[in-house]
Amino acid sequence: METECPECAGTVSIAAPEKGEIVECPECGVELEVVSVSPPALALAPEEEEDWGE
Amino acid sequence: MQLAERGIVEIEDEYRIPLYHKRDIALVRGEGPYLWDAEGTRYLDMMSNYGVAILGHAHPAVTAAIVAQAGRLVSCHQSFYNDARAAFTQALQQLLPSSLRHISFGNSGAEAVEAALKYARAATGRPRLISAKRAYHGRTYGALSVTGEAKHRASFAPLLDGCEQIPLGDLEAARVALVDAAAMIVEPVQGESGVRVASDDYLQGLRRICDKTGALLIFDEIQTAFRTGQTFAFEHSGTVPDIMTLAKPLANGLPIGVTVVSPEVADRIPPGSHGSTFGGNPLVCAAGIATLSVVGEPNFNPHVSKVGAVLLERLRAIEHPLIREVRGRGLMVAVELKRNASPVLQRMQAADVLAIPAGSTSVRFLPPLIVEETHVIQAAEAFEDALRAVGEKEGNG
Repeated sequence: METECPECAGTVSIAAPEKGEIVECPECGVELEVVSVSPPALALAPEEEEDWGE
Repeated sequence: MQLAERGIVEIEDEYRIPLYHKRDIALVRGEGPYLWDAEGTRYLDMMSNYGVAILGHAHPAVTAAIVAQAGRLVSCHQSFYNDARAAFTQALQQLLPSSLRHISFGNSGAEAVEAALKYARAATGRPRLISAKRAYHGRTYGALSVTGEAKHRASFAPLLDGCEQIPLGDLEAARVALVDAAAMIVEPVQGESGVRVASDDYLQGLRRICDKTGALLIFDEIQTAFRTGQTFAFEHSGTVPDIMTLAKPLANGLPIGVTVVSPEVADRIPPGSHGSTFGGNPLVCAAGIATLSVVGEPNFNPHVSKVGAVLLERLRAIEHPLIREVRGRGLMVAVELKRNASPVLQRMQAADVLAIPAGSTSVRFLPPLIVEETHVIQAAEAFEDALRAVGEKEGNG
């Protein structure tokens, strides 16, 4: 699946997409959720409450 | 001081600025690869406090060194000479390549990066600083300016002028970006973004480009030092940087940052242009000497390689539709999922195993480097159980 990042309009390619999958835009780095496989559509991934990163 | 878990949580929650999303346990004690919460539950530590407690908790030699130095001299400004600082410097020199000899002290990885960026500009007279997309170098303004993740940067603009991110692994982008740049800063293995290993060819290529353009090559080894099966991760590629940043593991958990530079760079840093009141204090240096004496033992790196290989093998053997990729080098390992990693981490914690995220979709394993095969096998099994439980709940496997 190849579609457009809703944040920066960059191209995002996903080999075998699944609805609900989280991917990262290679251009701007935002996290995106696959909200539809056919037709292909991405949305900004929801912020998780448990962000335990550095 | 003995506070019950509920009291600890209430006090911290009432007064803290809510910068951290908290996990619902209060850790109060550690020994070796284990941590205990205030209610007495024992956890297997697979995160070493984000990579710092490499010898495990309450290591006897480190504890003895801290106690002895605390009774002797805790602070000593760097305008004075000091025996503990000199001994730490000497111990570090035993581990460094011959072309990286000169060091300055700070108190954290971010400070080590700040110093590295300042030295690069001072040494080259050029303003532009290049880093890799997805990089994580710290949260102070300079370090943040070369950090790739938008979520860390968004609230604090404008950041430092002259900073540009290029894709990790893209040498053509590096050739373009490094013309007239002061430096390229890169993690040999990106940590926070999900344990992404820069290829040997890429690091060697960066070295060649920097040599050609006059840009300095900075390796951020804050998380990778001692952890990948070589003393420094750059040794896998045989590529030596001009500047290196060190911090997390150097004193087994006490705050320290060290910036290491070549003699050519050191010669071009003006005296008095940088400093730190707490940097290089004798207490931290004493802990550092004890830590480095263990790291320098002949079997240390082979042990990390061997146990790390077992962890990687066990994780790669797990077949599950939510796994996108397993990556790692030595005891720096991550499993990238197709979903947010938090539910898996929560279930691992409920099974008394503590791991951490890398980005939002990776489960990261950064255990103390003294763990044995039995520990990493237990961790891999806890991960698999947690993943299967989460998968079943979501209808995936």
